[in-house]
Amino acid sequence: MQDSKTSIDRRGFLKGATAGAAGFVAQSAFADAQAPAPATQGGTAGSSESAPTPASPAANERPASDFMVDVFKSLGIEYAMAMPAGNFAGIIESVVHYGGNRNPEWLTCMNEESSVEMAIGYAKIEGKPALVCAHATVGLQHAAMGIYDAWCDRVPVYMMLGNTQDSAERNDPITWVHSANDPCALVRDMTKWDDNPISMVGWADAAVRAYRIAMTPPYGPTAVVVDEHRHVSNVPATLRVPSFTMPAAPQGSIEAVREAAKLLVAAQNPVIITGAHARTPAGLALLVELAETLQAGVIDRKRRMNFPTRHPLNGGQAGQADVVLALEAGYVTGDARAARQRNAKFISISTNELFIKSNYGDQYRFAEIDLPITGDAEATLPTLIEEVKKLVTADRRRVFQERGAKIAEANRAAYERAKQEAALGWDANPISTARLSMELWNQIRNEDWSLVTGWVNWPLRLWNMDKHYQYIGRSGGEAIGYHLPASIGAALANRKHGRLTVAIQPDGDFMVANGALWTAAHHRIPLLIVMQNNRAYHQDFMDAQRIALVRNRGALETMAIGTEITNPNIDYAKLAQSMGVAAEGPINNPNDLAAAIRRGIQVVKRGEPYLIDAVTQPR
Amino acid sequence: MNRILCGAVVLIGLAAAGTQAQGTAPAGNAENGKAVFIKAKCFSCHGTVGQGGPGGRLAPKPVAFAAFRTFVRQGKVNSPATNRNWAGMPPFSTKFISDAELADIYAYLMSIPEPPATASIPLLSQP
Repeated sequence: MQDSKTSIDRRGFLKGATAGAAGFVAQSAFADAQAPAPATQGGTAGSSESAPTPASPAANERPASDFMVDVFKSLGIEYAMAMPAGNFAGIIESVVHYGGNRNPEWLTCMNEESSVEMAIGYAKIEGKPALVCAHATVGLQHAAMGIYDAWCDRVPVYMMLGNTQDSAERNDPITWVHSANDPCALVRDMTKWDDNPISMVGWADAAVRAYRIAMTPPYGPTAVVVDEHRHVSNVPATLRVPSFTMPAAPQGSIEAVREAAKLLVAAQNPVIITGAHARTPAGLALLVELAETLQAGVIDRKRRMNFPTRHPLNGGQAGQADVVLALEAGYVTGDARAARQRNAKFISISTNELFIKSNYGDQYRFAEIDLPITGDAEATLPTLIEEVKKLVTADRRRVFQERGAKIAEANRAAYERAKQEAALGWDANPISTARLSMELWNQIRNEDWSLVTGWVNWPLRLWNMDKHYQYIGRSGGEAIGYHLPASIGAALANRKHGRLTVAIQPDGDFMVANGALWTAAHHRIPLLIVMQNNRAYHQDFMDAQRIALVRNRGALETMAIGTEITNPNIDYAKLAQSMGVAAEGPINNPNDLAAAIRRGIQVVKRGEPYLIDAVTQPR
Repeated sequence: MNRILCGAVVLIGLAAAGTQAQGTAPAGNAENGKAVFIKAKCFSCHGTVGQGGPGGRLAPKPVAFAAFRTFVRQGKVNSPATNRNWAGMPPFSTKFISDAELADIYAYLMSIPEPPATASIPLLSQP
C-alpha cells in the first residue's frame, strides 16, 4: 500500500538500468546497484517515489522475477495474495505474464492484514501456505495483526516483503520512508524465521528455506525480504531452483511414548484433551482410533476439527480423570494444576517447546506436567496407538467397554441438553444465535459443507461434524478482523473441492477489513456469509458497563458509549452489494431466515459469494 | 475489543429447573420490566428473553426473588483471590435500577413462557 508513482522518475531510472544490463553476465544481476542516481525533473522531484525499470535480459539471462516464479511453482504455491506495491511489482508481472497467472494465481487484496488472514484460512483448509506479498514497510505494518494470528494459531504463512535495501537506491523521500534496514524486525517476535538476502542466489535459498521452516511443525509464518531493484534485474539463465524435500514431522521419544501408553492403559478414567493436534485429516482419524482403543472421552477445544462432534466418546470430565493426555492443547495450566491436586497424572504431547519466543504470551503460564513429550502430536499418535494396543488385555478391554458406554450416555444427555437450551428464545426477535445456526444447518446438512468461522458456539454443540475441513477454529490471536478474510481464504481452498462454504460472520469483525468482500466478488470465491449482526462490540460493552457499575457512576444511557455500532445501523447488504456481492437483509424475523439461506445457497452454488444480514441476539 | 472473556465467564444459571418459593416477590409491571431490561442492556449477557449467553439463563422460571435481588445488587465476584469483579455479574445499585424497577424486571422474567418442546421444533428434532 503506497502512493502512486510518476513516470518521470521511472524514465530517469531507465538510463542506469539499461547501462547495467550491458555489463558482464556475472555482474548483470547486480548491475542496477551500480546505476547512477536518477535524474529528477520539474517540481515533482523529491515528492514522489522512484521505481526501477528493468533492463531487457541478454541472451543468456532471464528476468529475476521469472526465476522467482519458478521457485514458487517448485513449492506448489497455488495462490498469491497481496495488496499491490511497487517494490514487488516485478513479481506480479512475472506471475501474470511469465507464469500464466496459475500456480500461483494472483489475488488482489485491499489490505495486507486481509492478505495474511486469507492465507490463514486457506492454509487451515488446504494444509499448506499461500504466498503473501506485502510492502515491507507500510504493508507489513498492516499485516502484523494477521501475522500474529498465524503465529499464535501455528499456521504456515509464507511472505515476500518488498523493500529498497540499498540506501544509495532510495532516491526520493517517499522511498526513504518506504524502506527499512531490517524490515522483519517489526514481526520477528511472531515469525519462525526471516531473511534479508542480497543476491538472487541468496534469495532462492531463503525462499525454499522459508517454506520448509513454515511447514515443519510447529507451523508458523516466515518472511523473506525482496529487494525492489534486484527482483526486476536479470539473472543468469542457468540459475538453478534449489531442490526441496520436506522433512518428517518431529515425533516424541519412544521411551516417553511407552510410558504414556502404560499410564493410559492402566488408568481407570483417562481423558484426552486436544486443541489443534489435527494438522491434517489423518490427525482426526488417529484420535478416533486412540479414543476407541482406550474408550476414553475426548475434550476437543476445537482450534481445529480434531474429533467428530457426534462421536459417542466426544466429551468427558477432565476434573475426574486419573490420567489426562493433552495433544497440542494450548492452555493447559489449570488442567495440569487440578490434576496434580487430585494426584492424577498429566501427559502432554506438543511441539510448543520446540519453538517459542519470549515477548508475546502465547506460551501461557507454566504448566506442571508429569510427562511432557516434545514432538508433534499427530506424528506421534501412530506410535502411541501401537504401544497402547500392545498393552491392552481382554480384562482391560472389558473395563474399557463399560467406561465407553458411560461416556456415550453422557454424550447423548449433553446433546439433548444442548437442544433444550437452543429452544430458549427460539422465536426471539432479534434472532437467537441458536436459531440462526440451526436454520443454516438444516439447509447444508446434506451437502458437502465447510464452516469456516468459529465465533458462535452452537454448531459445535448441535451440528454433526466429522470431517477435518468442516471446522477450522477461530483466530489465534483472539483479536477481531480475522473472520471475514480468513473465511474467504478458506472458501478459496474449498472451491476446487466443490464444497459449500458457510460463515457466521460477527459484525464488529466484519467492519475491520470488509474490503475483503470485493476480493471475494472479483475472484468469484463462493461463500455464504450469514451476519451475526448484534450491533455492538458486546464483549467490550460488558467490560465498560461492569467498570461503571462497580464505580457506581454514570448512567445506563451512557454506558454503551464507545461500544455500540448503532445510530446509524450499518446496512451490510448494501455494503456488500456495493462491492459486487449479492446480498439481502437486514432480517429481524427468524421465520424469514430459511428462505434467505435458500436463496443464498443457490447463488453460492453458482460460484459466487452471498451475504445475508441477520440481526441477532448478542450471543 | 481484543479481549475475549467469554470463555472465562462463569455461566451461572439464574433460572431454576423446578418450582421455588416466589411468594416474597413484590408485584411488578412486566411491560415496564421489559423496557428496563432492555434499557439496562441486561440482554447483552442474558439475551432479550433471558435465554442466557455469556451470562446465565434467567428465564423461564427465574430463581426466587430474594436470590435474584441479591445477585443484581451485589453482583458476582469472579476472582475471590483478588476480590475483583472482572468478568461476572456487575452490581446494579439503586442509582441505576430502583427497587420498583427491579420488581418490574422480575415480573418480566416471570412472564416469559416456557420454550416449545424440542420435539415440536423440526430443526431440533432431526437426527
